[in-house]
Amino acid sequence: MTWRNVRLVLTREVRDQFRDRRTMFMMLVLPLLLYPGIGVGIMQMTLIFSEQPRTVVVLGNQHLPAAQSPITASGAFDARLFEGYSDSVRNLVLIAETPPAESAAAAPVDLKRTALLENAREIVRLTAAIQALERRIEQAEALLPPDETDAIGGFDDDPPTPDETQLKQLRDELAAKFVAFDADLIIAFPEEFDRLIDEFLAEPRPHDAAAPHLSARPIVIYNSANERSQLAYNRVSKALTFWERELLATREANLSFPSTFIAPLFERRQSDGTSRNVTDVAQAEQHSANVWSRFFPTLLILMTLTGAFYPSIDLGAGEKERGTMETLLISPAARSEIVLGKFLTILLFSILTALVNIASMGGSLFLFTLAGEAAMSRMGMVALPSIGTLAMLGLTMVPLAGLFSALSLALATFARSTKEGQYYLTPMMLVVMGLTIVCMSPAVELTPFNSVIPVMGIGLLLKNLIQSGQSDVLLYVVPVLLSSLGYSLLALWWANEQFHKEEVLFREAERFELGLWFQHLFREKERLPSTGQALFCFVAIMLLQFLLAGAITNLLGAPGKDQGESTLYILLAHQLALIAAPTLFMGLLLISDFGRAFRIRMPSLRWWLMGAALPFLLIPLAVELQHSLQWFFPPAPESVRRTMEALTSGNSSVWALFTVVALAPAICEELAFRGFILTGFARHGRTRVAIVFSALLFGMMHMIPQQVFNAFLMGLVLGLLAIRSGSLFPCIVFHLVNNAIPVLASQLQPATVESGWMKGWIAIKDNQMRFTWLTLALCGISAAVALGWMLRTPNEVDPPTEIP
Amino acid sequence: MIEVAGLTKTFRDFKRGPIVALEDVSFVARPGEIFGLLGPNGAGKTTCLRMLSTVLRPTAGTARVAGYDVVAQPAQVRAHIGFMSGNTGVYDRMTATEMVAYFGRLYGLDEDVLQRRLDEIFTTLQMNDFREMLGSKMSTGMKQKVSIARTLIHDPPVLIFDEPTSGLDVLVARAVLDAIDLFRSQGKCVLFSTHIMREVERLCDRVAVIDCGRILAQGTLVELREQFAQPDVEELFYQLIAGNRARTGTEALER
Repeated sequence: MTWRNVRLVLTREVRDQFRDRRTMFMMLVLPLLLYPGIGVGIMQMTLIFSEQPRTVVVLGNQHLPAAQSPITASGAFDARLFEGYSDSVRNLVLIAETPPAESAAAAPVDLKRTALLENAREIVRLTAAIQALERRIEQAEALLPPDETDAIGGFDDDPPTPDETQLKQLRDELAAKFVAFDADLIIAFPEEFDRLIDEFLAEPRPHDAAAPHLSARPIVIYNSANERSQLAYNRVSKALTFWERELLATREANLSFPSTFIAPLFERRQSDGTSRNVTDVAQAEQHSANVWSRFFPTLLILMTLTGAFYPSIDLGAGEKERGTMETLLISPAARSEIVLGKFLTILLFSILTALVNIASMGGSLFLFTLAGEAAMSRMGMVALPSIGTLAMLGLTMVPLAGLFSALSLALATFARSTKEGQYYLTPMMLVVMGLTIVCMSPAVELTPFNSVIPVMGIGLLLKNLIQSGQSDVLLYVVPVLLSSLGYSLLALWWANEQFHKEEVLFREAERFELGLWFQHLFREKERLPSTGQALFCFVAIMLLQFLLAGAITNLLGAPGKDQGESTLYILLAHQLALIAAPTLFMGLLLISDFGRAFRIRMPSLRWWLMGAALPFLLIPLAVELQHSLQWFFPPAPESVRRTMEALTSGNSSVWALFTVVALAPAICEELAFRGFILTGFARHGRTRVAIVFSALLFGMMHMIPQQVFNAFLMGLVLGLLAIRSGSLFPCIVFHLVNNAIPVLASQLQPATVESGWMKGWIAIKDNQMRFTWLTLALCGISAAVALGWMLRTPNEVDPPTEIP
Repeated sequence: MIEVAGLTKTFRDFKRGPIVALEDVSFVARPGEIFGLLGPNGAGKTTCLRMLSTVLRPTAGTARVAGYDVVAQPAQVRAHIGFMSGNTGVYDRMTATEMVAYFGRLYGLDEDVLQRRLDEIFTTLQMNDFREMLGSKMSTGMKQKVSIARTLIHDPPVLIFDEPTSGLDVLVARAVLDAIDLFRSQGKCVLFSTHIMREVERLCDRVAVIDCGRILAQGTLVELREQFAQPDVEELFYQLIAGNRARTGTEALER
């Protein structure tokens, strides 16, 4: 690798991109125009769609007391009721039954207003009828014996009473009326309400609570399913609550109670509208941080991706399309130098695009705030994150851009034309968008586990950095950056692989014909599965689990059966139908050398022994490793815990448990993962890569994070065992013993462990088998020796390969 | 010089299964000589030359170019050849000078050597008129000249041209052939593939006739005429290929 060549490729590609008008437009000009454009658009929209006032019909306003009326003479809520709230809250239009005196005289008869009031009265009447009916039904139910009342509350098979039928009719009618109604809310004040209030204010006797006269209270009717109506209700209820407090205060004064006599325990609003005991600690920059933290990571991630997207297509597929790929390949620059040069170019543009976008967005926001956009300034979006935060953002952006650049380059190299490149890159964009949206959710927090998920880790870190900038976030910086760096290196390695493949670089323009492809697949069977078929086998297993797992549970988990027993059947069916069946089906259908592909072969005795002995050495290490990593993984889902409980609590025999938990997975999963899939991956002779990838897939199949990790490690050992012994049998033995040990251990009585020979080696803590340091040390040393020997030992037979 | 022994290349094709694009091809081309690879379209010429330029790996057989093995020392091989084919295009967004200089730098030339070579080559190939023209604005002939200039910039001992005159008008084609003639006189080893008989008659010291991935005959033109008792080269070529296809049962020539 010569840096001179990398630099030459890099400078050429960068200059090339700067000369491409389309790229320049997408990356530099578009963002500069976009955000000011969006800003202007939003301003226009707010002008056009400024919030309409909510209409409130007030019936019986003539019955309000003259002295402390909530409604002023001009026919609006008194402004004092909304003190301390923003102006928009007062945005209500009141249509009063008895209009203010001066306008009533002047205005001609308004037909629309008359109709509205008439409808409102009708709705109030309906509501009253419904309430009366409801009371009658309640009273009827109260008379029934208690066990029958239960039935009414529960699933009631009795035919509805005539009253119930009528109630439903009335409710439907009311709902229909209100939908057709032209206002958002109705308040109806009862007759003689003013007299009632006067009494309430003046008389010392307690307000008659024993016989609540419903018609003597105001009725509010609104529709909470309608956003406009809900909004009107929020505003009106604010006003009425404040008014009620005022009345209470007057009563206190009239009856010379001490002012604290009926003071509310909770919020107490003062005359200036502020509250003494509710404190909002949010400061302007925190509001702004909150807005930024939602907005900014998403934008940053998507822009970084966009910035990688277009140049990568040009540098990969575009080079092929313009016929210059071969010119470059015959130059003395090594392929890895070319890949690195191109990768750095894409990385540069990815970061540049993100920066330009952010700068343009920040700049536009700043200008709009200067221009006095009141709503925006209140949101506090102008306040930029601090310099330290910005530096951290820059730091996190590099591995993120690296990941996107390498992935895009690999995909774009695979594509034959720029059009094809876009087809391949779009799914990646969708996946990234999905992950970003998940990050945005307030419920998703930065945890050790989340921090190592690609893209999400960075998204969450960015969110938290902007939100708090606290030191505990800094704990996550290292894992997030390291894992992201790892992913980018992996992606870069993949891109480099793509560049070394003849079939990728010189893909002829073959027409894809489904019929021909099927013919080829079934008639001219290949000896061994291809890498694509191996991957498809895994996808088929995952898809079947997704589609059929529920069906199997329904079929076998019929109620009434023993829980433990049906769980056993379900697990067995999973193994046979969802793992073994698709694998064997593909094997029979697609390949000719079944025996070699599935490694059906007698190995020498030492591999049998190795398969049987290794689990004993590895299980203590795995158990303790998992315990020490418990903080890292999210807790296992409830359903898994329940399955485990059902298995152990059931009264099924040890043999049944052994068959389902140990024997079936040992055979089915090994056929799939160390048979078909490993052979497919190792087909071109690259066994190490094949072992790692088959182990990764084996881990992924286990879904639950803890098990994924465990299964991945186990998959590595099993893969090595399969390659070295050239046989599936030692793997089946290993898997069998490995799964059987916990089953047998669950049969152990704590007393046996404490007293017998196991004392000092094994302990039982919280119903779980744990191991002492002595055990761990011995197992660790022997496992290291065994694995070391396996790594150094040559393969017993050459792994089945097909080198083209 | 170029020594090819038993070179074989198999591709996997989606529709047709494995295809032998080149089978057991052997020949030697010496310095100061123009070796012609003569064959119809799809005969395997390009595949053969791609293996010599190390962009494809041989399935079997060996090839040494300028003393380096194409599998074991690909970087050395690439540094010592100038390669041009229909698939080695010119960058659209680079001028002629930039393009040739870029490759010169990749070959590790010093800046002063590079400038001298640039001037020399641009004058020899009469390219000074469009030195600063972008690739996208050039005519086919201009592009071909830029490609030739690129193959010459590091003064390689071996030059490989894959159908260098295809798509060119008579004037430019003649200029290209003259240039190739000139390279021979400079003592370079030139491997030159074509399907045009007149070019072969005019330039080649020795030829190999290739079809369906196999060499049907090789030697000087005089030797070939005598061997097959056919004075007309075009007729000779046709008979060889028609005979081969009749024997192997591949599709007839007139398709």
